[in-house]
Amino acid sequence: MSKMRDPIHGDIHIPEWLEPLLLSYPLNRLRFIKQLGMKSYAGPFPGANHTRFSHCLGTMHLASFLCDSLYKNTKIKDLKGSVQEYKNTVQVAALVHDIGHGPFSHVMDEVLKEYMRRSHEDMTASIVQNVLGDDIRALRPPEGNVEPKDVSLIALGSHPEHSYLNDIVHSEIDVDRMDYLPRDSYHAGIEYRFGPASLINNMKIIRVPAISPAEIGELREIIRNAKTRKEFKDFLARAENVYEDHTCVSGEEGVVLCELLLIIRRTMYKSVYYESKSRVAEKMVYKAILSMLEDKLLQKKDLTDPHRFIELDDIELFGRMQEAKGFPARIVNFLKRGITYKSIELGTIEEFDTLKEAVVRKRYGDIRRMEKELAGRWNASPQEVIIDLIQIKAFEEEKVFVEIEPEKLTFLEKISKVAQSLISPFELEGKVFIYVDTDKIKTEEGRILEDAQTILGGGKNVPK
Amino acid sequence: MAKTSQNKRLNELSDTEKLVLVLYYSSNQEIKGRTRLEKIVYLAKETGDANFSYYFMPYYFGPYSADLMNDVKALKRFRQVSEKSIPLDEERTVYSYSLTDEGLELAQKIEREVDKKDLAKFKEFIQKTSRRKTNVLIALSKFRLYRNLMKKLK
Repeated sequence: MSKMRDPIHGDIHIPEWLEPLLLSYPLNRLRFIKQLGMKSYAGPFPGANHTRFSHCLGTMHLASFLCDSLYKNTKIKDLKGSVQEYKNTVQVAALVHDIGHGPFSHVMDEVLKEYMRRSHEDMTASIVQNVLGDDIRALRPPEGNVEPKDVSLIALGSHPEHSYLNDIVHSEIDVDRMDYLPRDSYHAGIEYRFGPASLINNMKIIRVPAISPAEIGELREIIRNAKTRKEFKDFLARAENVYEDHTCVSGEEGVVLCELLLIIRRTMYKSVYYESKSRVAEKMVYKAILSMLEDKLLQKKDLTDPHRFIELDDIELFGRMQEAKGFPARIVNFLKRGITYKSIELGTIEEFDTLKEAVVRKRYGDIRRMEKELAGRWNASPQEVIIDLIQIKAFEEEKVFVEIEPEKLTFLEKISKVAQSLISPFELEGKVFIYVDTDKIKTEEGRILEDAQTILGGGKNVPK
Repeated sequence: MAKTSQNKRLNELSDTEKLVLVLYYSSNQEIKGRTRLEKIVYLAKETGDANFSYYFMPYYFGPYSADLMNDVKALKRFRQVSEKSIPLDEERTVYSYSLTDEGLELAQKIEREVDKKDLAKFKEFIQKTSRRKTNVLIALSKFRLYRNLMKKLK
């Protein structure tokens, strides 16, 4: 067993059977991808240099710890058995859960979502199955084997057999958040203290009927004479035997720790993840990637084929940007000199009809056309103008099971006013900004605002 | 130009465009309950040709996609969808979703752009599914989700 030194969790012990995977190319590549994208290159967080690799290791460490705690705290015998059976698979899933991230993490994720109809989760599944499949199958834990299919299902949160497996890596209170929130805040230099150990010690697995007994009777009545598939009737006939399992936070201490984790998440979005200067830098690199795709300096296949995708990391992309010359190289040069585009707040999305329709319909090409039109008005090239809209996921209701008294289950927000308050949208949500290259665009701010109003469909100046 | 856009296939639409159509074709152009909305879209994804890109996770009230709910919230924020909260009892609230006038206009606009055959099939599926009771939708969704598991139990 080897160990890794980690600033958040102390020594992380790597079981011998897992070492080959840790040394594999796709995993090791994560050492070359910064966890927080451009945060350390621009803005007030120069220390945020940590990588996806250390986050994945930390997540694996916590997943292993959580499995041990679930085993200890869960009373139902066959669920205990299931935790034992799946622990190795969960560890692997936690280790690879972010393997589908590309250069500068969320920067590439936005390109994938908006232009490839994919996400880093899709790429994770694709890399696990198509690149790492044999490596995962070759792992020899002390008991059983690890199946790549199970690994990708758990990493994506879609395992159909045991929901608690999904909850471990992919829920409102999961080991992913328990690692990245303390890790990101530590490296950003913000003193939000959250130790995951106590929360993990207060977690167990609960079992609930897949369909409540009261409903089974009613459903059977509904389908008695209905033209329904036989398979569905069979399902209802056996529905009493189908249960779901979920992770659950128990005790008052557990609730307080959930609240703390969720408050830190909320605050981190505001103060770090959407910090303005580094956000502009991210958007500049995003725009450089789009320009390279347009000029065929990056191929669509580079972003969709898992074998080619893993060739990309932060350093490789910076290299290709410089080799591309022109605009992408200019962006690298800007970042090296600490220059970012000027940010101007335009208002909220509701004020701009044309932009709103493009966003509602997810027509990102239309947004690029608006940038081009604005640039034309200011005698600039389209790359020198970026329109940005802030959208952030708030806390989700009915997703965190809590057991304050034995056998009495409820959802977190039902008993926590703090959690309830976190359901509301973020203050930044829906804000629209425009970023301009002031080296090239000398237009006055008043005129920029006026033109943006016209092109984005603000006020009464909706263009037909 | 007009001819090409009219021939757009349903699966070329974005998730939010398809969501607008789901509300447009639902019975009474309204969906009462987030659970219902989630299950209708889940079934449309699993059994139809709509090609939604959402990942659904197995949850207590059936398969659930956080990205889908996020898109619904965005549509609400963009004033395409209105959300009414109806208290069921002291503890529970049901959220009802329908298109605003602006949303209706958008739905009609999208409708004009898409292949008629694709739309007819999708419309029929949504109309049929949205007439089902919520517990049936949950059971049908869970049935699809657990079908493989049931095979194992046999």
